[in-house]
Amino acid sequence: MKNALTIQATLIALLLWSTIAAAQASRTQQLLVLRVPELNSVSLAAGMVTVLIPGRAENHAAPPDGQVKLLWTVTGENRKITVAIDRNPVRPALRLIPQDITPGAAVAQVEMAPLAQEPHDFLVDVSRSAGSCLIRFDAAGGSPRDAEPTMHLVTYTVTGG
Amino acid sequence: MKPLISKGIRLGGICAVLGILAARPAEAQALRVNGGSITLTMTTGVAGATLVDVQNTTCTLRYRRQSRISKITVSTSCPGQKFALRVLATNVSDGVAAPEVTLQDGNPSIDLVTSIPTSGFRNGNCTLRYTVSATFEDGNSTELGNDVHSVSYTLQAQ
Repeated sequence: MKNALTIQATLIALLLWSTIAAAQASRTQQLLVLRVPELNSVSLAAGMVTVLIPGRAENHAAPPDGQVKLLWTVTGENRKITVAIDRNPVRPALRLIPQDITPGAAVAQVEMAPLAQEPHDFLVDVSRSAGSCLIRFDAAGGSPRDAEPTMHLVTYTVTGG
Repeated sequence: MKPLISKGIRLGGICAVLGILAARPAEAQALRVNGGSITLTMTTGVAGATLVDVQNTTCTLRYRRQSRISKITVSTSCPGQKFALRVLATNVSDGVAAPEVTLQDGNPSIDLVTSIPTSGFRNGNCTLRYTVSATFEDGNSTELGNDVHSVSYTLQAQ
C-alpha cells in the first residue's frame, strides 16, 4: 500500500512537471548585424558665389568678399577638409577665410595663391564631427586693374590627415 | 498487488513520456522569427546634420496563443555596442503593441507585445520594424567593427 502511494505521488509529480514544461516561456533568437560604413559628406549651401574685388571702378564701395556656407558630416578618424581650385592663375590671389565655425573644429587659414591647384588644408581635425562654417573669399593682393571677370571651380574634399 | 503496481508504473511512465513529448513541440513552435539573420547598413549622411536612419520590416514574429494571457518581451546581447537599434511590433494580429523598444546590450527584457489573448491554438503574428540610427560621434564600422546583435524574444505569461 505504501509502495502504491509512493508511485501515485511520483506519477502526479511527473504529470505536473510535464504540464509546467508546457506552460514554460518560449524563446527564440535572431541575429542582426549593424553596419555603418565610413560616411563623409561635404556640401555648400550656395552653389555659386561672386567675389567682388575692390579697386575696380564699378566696385569702389563693395566689400572685398563673397560668402558661402560649407557643411560637413564626417564619421572617420583623422580627417580634414582640403580646398583646391580648378586652374591657375587666379588674379588677384584669393584667400578663403572660415568664419563662424561650429565649435570643436580646429582651423587652418588657407591662402589660395596663384599656382594653387594643389589641395590645401582648409579645416583640420574634423574627425567624427558635423558642422558648418561661413567661407569668406578675400583678395590677398595683386593688381585689381588686371583682373578680368573669370570663373573658377573650387573643390572641397574630406580626406585623411 | 504487485501486478497492479507494475501496471501503474507503466501507465504513469507512458503518461509522463506523452506529456513531455507533447510539451516539447509546443515549446518549439510557440514563438518563431521568420526572416532569418539580417544585415542593416546605413548609407546616407547629410552634410552638417546627422546620419539618416535605416529601417527594415522584412521579418515577422509568429506566436501561439497560450492558456493564459501572455506577452512577448525582447532583449539583446551585443558586446561593445556602438550604434542604436530599436524595434517596434507593427500589424499585430493578437495582442497590443508596446511602444518602440530601444535595444541596449545587457538591459533587461522589455515588453514588445502585451495582452495576447487566450483560447484555442490560433497563431498570432506581427511585423518587426527595426530601426538603426547613429551619429557622427559613433564612428564607423570600417574602423570600429560591426555591431552584432543576438536579439531574444520570449513568450511568457503576463
